[in-house]
Amino acid sequence: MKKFDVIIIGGGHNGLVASSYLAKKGKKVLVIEKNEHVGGLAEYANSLNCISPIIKKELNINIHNIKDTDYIISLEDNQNHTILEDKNGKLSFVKTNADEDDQKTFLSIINNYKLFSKTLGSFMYQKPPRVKSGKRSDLFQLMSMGWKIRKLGKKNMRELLRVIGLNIADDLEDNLNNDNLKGLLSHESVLGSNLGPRSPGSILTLLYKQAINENIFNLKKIEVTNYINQLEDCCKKNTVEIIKSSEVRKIVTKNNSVTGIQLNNNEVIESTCVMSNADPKTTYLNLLGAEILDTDFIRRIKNFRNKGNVAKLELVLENEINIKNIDKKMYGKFIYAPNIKYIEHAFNANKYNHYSKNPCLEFYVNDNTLSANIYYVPYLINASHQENEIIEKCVAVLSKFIPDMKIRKQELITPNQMEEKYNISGGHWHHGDLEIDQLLMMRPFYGSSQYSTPVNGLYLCSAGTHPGGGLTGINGLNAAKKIIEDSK
Amino acid sequence: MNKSKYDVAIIGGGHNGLTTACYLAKAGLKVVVVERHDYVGGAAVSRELHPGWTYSNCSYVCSLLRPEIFRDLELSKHGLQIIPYEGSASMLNDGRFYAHYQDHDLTYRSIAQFSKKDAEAYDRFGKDVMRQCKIIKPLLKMTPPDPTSFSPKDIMGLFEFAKYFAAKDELGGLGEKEIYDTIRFWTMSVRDYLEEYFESEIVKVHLAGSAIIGTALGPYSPGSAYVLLHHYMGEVDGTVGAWGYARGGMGSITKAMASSFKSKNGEIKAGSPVTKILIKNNKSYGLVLENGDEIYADKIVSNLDVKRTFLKVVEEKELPNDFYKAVKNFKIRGSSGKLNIALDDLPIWKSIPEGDPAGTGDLHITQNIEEMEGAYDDWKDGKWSQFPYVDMCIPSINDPTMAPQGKHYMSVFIQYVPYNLADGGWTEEKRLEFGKHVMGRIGNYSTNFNDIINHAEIRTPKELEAEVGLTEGNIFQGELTMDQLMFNRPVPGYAQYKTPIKNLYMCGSSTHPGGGVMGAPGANAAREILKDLNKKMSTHYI
Repeated sequence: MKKFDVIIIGGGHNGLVASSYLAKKGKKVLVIEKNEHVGGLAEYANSLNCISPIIKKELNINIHNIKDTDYIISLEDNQNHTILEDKNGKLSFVKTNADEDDQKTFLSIINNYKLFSKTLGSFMYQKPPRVKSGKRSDLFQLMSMGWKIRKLGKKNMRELLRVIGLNIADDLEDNLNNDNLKGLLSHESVLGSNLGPRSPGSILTLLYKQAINENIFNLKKIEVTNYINQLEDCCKKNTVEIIKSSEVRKIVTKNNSVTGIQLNNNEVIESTCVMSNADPKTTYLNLLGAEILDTDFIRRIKNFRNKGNVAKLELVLENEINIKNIDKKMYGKFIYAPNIKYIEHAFNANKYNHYSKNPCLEFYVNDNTLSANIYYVPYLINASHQENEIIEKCVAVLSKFIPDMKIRKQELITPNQMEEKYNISGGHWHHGDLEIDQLLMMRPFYGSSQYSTPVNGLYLCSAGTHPGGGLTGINGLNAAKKIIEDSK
Repeated sequence: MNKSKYDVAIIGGGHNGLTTACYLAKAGLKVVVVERHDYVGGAAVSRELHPGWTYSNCSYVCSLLRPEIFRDLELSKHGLQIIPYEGSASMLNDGRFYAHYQDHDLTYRSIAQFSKKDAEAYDRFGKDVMRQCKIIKPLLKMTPPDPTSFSPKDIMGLFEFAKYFAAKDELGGLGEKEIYDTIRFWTMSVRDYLEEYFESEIVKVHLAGSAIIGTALGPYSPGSAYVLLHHYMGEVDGTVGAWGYARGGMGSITKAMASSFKSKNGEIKAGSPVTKILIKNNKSYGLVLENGDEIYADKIVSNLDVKRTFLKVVEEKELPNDFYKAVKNFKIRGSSGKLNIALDDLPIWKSIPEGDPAGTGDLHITQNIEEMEGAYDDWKDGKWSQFPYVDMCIPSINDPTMAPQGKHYMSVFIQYVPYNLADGGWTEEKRLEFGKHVMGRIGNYSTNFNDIINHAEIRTPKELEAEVGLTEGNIFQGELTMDQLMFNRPVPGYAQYKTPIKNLYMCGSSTHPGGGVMGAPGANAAREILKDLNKKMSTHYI
């Protein structure tokens, strides 16, 4: 039987990044993927531009933006849409009913947030320090983080320390008048999170996502399949072995140390080092099994908040899609989240495990296809949504802007279906909420952060670890570094 | 025009203003407290608004008052008595009730009726919350260090703060696990927090009440778990977490403080609304009263909330732009209402038997957390809650001085009630309708409640603002969310009781550590003022 230095469970992009790095360091790596193709949730993402430049460089991934200029269209019922142009990251208004003051303030808020998220972004490439390990290196790292925040200067630091606890609605209402602009920014803040615009912490979520994406409006700029193919090639070039259509049933341990994995066909593959790209809950509760973990730890796993609440709708129409009142060359990312109250009401339903009757949408169109993220559609435990009703409500919103919709094909993926398809418990985009108590050294939770686990030789590299979701690949990079560091 | 001169003039005779006043007078300063009303007390008052009955018509129960302040100000000597109460209960629609008692075994039995697992978990919960109380206690007395400052004082403060967390475990520091647990506790929603312990809805909702009282948060809002502390960290007679009634109503607390203050040669000018703080060259030097009198003082201290201080009695031109804007954006939303009801008899509850000690404490009728969150949803939309959370109690059971013999006084605190109604503002009619609705809700749980109401005072945030002067009727003088706590309270950079104007200080609940009849902001402010005067504070309160 073959022996591997490291076995990676799951060929999502983080798993691929990690295996490339490990293989480059001379490790013999095996990746096991449940589906017929690798990439995991990456194919699900319809907007991303956040692959870490360091990874691109070091793994020699050659990928370019599809377009330099993109548009963000915030739709309004009265067809008085706001259009923003994003030219290589520089934002400007093309059309809006907001007055000049508001436009200026809006851009300055974004710039301010950009500054803060840059500081947060500088923490991404390190494994987060432990607060009280007694080790000098952790202490040093903590102090250097503190120093980075201090370097913002007095005024900005004060503002940062204030807004991380604040909700987005308050900050926008304090500064802006235009409802549409407030809705637009609130949308970016709450999409994919378990928060409404009035929930404290929603600014932090926005800053954090912005730090990951290096842009406040996460726009579609690269070809995802191209990226995944290149990653796979990179793995192969470095002699990583990839087994597809094969599911891991169990992580095998002995005396609290990993000895290998068992596949669904009962085959056992031995290795003293296993890295799981599955989300933390799946890894611990399904693959490892609760028996060998202590009760306090299991409690922490169960308390990890990972309820997804975004559904995806793919529509194919009979005819080419024309959006009312918008020039075709400005088609880009469409958002329907007209004001804070509307979003907050949509969020209210989510709290009680209902889908929003008046949902918020983010969508892209291409010829006669439309792909939309719908929120809120909460993950349900032991229940399911009336999918047709959700589609109906969505189409009702869309038909305000797309006259005469004739649908040829429709497909809805709810968080529950996402859980099943991609094996992500809770069906959460980021494997777990990006809230303050689930970030940095607390991600996913105490005792399991810094990519290691209570079991010797078992590591995590999924979006459930620092720095969280989004297609950065940094989780994989940091986790690989951790294994290499430990094996020294 | 009268002119008089003091060492310190304090605007507002609330419990914090009086606490500051006492400490300063104790240090030998000539202090005057200037109060708008004919009586002192702010929101800690006892008033006879219906002949024969005494209403604690704003705050209504006592626990948070720091014991050191109690001792320093010799409040017992000045007549204050706290009567601990025996329990609390939630009444269910199905005729059962859920109760907490002073007696641990009784509480266990009560919880076990609903869930054995929860009864077991309750001890773990209690221990964890008490640990959080222990952690926060030293922070209450601390002047929050400014993390952006490079002054030796602030760096030392931060260092102390870090040391507190970083001390070796055997020296009383926190373990790594506790640090993470603390961060979680400070940022989580109370629903999430309670779900980590309990499965039974009634247990969760009974405990969650403390986290939403007075806030603009719902039980599902992140950050609401922390507010639990503002209702758990108190103590009565050394019993941590216990609550009690002040004998004679909450006004007894401020009455005792006023008497303590006068015994130290302090002066109180009641019935003297302040219209303006006199400022010259960025230094305050006096006050102007409504009648035109002027009072001069070396130090001015404001017990008013930060908005009222800087938007009403200080002129905009005196303030730096950033500060003015920050004050304007300070979040101080009213969310609570209150009914004070004179009863001809003791209410008979459908579920709680007569004489059960649980009936003497705070009573609730909310059935589950979802209902509570729904009440919050109403408030967000500018409506008073259809199914409001009520916190009601009948102090006259334990304290016969509150009502004529055989009759009773009932205090009903209501969450949520907006300051502004979406459908065009409060009117007399709407106020009465609101009161009637709440009484109707309570009436559902009693067999005689509707027939024994003799008089009811109905208060919305509007009334609270008009009477006590709290902006928008927020009971904490500003919301208790992370963006307004510690070094952010009330305004980042001005969290040390000082203001951009020299010699002008703040001592109200708008400052750290926030609201509740606690006295800590007042005592902390006094310490800072004395420090600036190179005087020492004589106290148990370090």
